Amino acid sequence: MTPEMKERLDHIVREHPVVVFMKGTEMFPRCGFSAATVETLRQAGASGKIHDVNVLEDRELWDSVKEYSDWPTIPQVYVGGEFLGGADITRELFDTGELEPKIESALRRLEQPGEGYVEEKPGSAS
Amino acid sequence: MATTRERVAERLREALPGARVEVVDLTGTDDHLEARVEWSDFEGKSPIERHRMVYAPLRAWIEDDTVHALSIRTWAPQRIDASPKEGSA
Repeated sequence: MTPEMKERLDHIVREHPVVVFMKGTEMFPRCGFSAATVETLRQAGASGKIHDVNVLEDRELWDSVKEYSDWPTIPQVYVGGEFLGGADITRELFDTGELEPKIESALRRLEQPGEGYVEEKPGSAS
Repeated sequence: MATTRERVAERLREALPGARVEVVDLTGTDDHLEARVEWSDFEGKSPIERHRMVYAPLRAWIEDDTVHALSIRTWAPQRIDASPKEGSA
């Protein structure tokens, strides 16, 4: 993975509260697991807020994201900059009720005015 | 010749000693599989860590698309030998 690609991936997962690296798009998924993952995220409150990244359109990104996450398969889900896992874990977290609060908190941080979606710095709160 | 499903099950049993492993062919095409693994070493591990432990011995087959899609379900067996109330000095 090139440093440029790492920076690009860092940027993607930091700038968007809910990210799915998937085969196809949210509207037109090209793989059953990707489709199921998007559906789970929607059910968990991310409807209309999902940032989809189609790995089929970018071979370098596809290879790099596996290394970036240390995860050999697609889809891959990031919420609030944190790697959650693939289709099975996303579903598991939804079933145990852990997914919704993660998404809610990630979306809330996005909606804070001024800063955009960035990590809060210690001591910067007024 | 062994099916991919059988080879995956065998490799997981070798790599995860003592684990109960069941591999299911989800589509009847031997390339969309589900691995169900119960293993004492999963105890205390996060879902991500457990999945990585299952992926690790299969990595080459995932990369060369022998296994096109792999669903993973993991369990840690309930421990019945521990008695939490006693002996915790």
